[in-house]
Amino acid sequence: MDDPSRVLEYKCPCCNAGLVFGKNTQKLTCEYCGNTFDIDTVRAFQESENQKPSEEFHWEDVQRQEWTEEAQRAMRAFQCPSCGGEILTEETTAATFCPYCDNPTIMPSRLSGGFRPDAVIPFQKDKEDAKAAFLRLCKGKPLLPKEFTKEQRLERITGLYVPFWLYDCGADFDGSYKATRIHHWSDSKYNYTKTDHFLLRRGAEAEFAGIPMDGSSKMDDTFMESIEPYDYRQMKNFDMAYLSGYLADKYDVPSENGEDRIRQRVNTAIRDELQSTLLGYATVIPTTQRLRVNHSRAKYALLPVWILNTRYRGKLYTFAMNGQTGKLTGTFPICPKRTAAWFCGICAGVTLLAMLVQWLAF
Amino acid sequence: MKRNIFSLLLCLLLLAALVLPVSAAPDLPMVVDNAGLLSDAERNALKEKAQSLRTEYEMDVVILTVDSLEGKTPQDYADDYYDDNGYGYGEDYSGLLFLLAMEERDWYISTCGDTIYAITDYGVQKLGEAALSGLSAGAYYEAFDAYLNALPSYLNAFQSGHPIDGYADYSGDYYHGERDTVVHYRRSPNLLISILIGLVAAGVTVGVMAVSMNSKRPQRSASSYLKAGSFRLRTHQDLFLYSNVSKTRRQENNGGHSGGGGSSVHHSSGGRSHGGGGGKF
Repeated sequence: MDDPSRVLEYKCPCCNAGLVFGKNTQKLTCEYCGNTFDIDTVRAFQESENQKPSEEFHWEDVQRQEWTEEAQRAMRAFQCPSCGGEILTEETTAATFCPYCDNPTIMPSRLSGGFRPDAVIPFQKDKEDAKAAFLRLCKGKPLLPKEFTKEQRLERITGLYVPFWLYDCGADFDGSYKATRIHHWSDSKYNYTKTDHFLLRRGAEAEFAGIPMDGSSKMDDTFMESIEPYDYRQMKNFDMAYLSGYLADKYDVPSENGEDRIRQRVNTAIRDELQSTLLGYATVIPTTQRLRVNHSRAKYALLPVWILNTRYRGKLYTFAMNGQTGKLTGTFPICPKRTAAWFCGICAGVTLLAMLVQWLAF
Repeated sequence: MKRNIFSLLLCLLLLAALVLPVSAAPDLPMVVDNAGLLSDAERNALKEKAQSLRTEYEMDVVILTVDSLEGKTPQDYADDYYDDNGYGYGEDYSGLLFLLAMEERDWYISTCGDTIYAITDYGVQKLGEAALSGLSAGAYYEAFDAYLNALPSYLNAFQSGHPIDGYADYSGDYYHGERDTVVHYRRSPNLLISILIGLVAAGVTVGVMAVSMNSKRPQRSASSYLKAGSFRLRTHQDLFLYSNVSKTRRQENNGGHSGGGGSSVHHSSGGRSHGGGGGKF
């Protein structure tokens, strides 16, 4: 069971084809014979199958002259259990497809021990949803180049389980502020301004649950933050079966690295909360502020992300969609011609309007 | 028969309407020198000038000098004198009265009817200035003469639809100059400012459009992960430390004008609307 060389594939108990996790049914589906299976059923079946010793499940560390030392370390060759083809993967890949027979393949050795995720949120949106969301996002963008919308060739849409660290933490905040209140009044000779100075002290506690931080060096942290939040109510205990039919990575950034960013976000959240208690003053200037954040071990979870790639004028544009909520983000190219046209048009229109208003009003 | 009586009544009413304005203007003296500051010749010269203004502009132009205001404010004294003695031209009792009180050394111009709008607060002060140097020097005839000479430019401007109002020159329509050299400016639309407004509007709009092209932005805070009800304010202390007071002298307000421009209107004790203003000499 713990043999690190094993490659796992969930096979259809009926026709032996690779099974794919379906987002609508939340079950494993066989695309060939159309059967659907409970995860527990398939696992029970698989375990009974695995009773027989099988040579298929072990990886070969094939020595090849072409690869450099580094590449050898980064890449590992697995053998596809379906067709026997050699699957080359990066060191972080935990689930992929066989390049020859396209069957979904999972590397259990990269999802066990210290790398075993605590939880997973299964995909709720499929490839078609991602396409539709992308087309929706393209609409109503006057600065988008015409050809970008017209050609609409999404090069690649990839469903990917991204490793995330979820931090539960308690925050403890103490802050002092200098504040003023200003009154005005006047008599027949003078205008008076009275400034009252105050010292404000605020202390607050709060608890946060599951602040996410992506644990993959391949993924852009900003990108992963932009598709937040995930709904943790649909979070399941980790099971490899959810990964079947998608790509998955294991973490390669330790949970400690995300702590600074988490701290920043907690700090902003607490200040925002305190804002409502600092009203009624003309000025409020913070003097000293102290924030303590205590967190237990970060939870390791795989969260679903659709990555969409499209090419425009030789440049690659990447968009990311939250595989659970469907929130899609990314950077569109800006057409300089259209920008100039809009700028000149608005400028001319408003200038004329301003002239007209001046003419009529005075 | 009934119809005939009705038409007769109507005719009488129309006739009365025609006659009334004339009959309401009895032979009241336009210059009343109770303080005895003017010689007979001077008084007659002023009277003549005032009378010609009266017929030309259809308003009473009254000059009144008194020894004392008898405890009244200049405004009340001038308004009451005007109202009680039956001054006023036409249905709206149009006219203005220049009051000079020797004991209090006050001058005051009270306006009534259409004249309130002809002589704005600005006009009142300017007319006062025209007379002031003479008044201070004791040359009362010259002072009143200068005042009467200054009047036509204001009345002409009013009749052409644009009363002189220096306090309102922000509005775009204003007059500049004194007496008969009144110049009327109309501010033309300012192209430079319009273009500037256009540039700013276009910049902001296109800027917003450009920003919306990028939705790949980091989260600001962790507020969506705040456990409901877990935020607890432990300390909430507002300590008063000290106060300081600063004072600045108010803008000296030497006219009766309020705010930007136009004419300020008040009610006299008789209930009639008056405008005006005054000062010391």
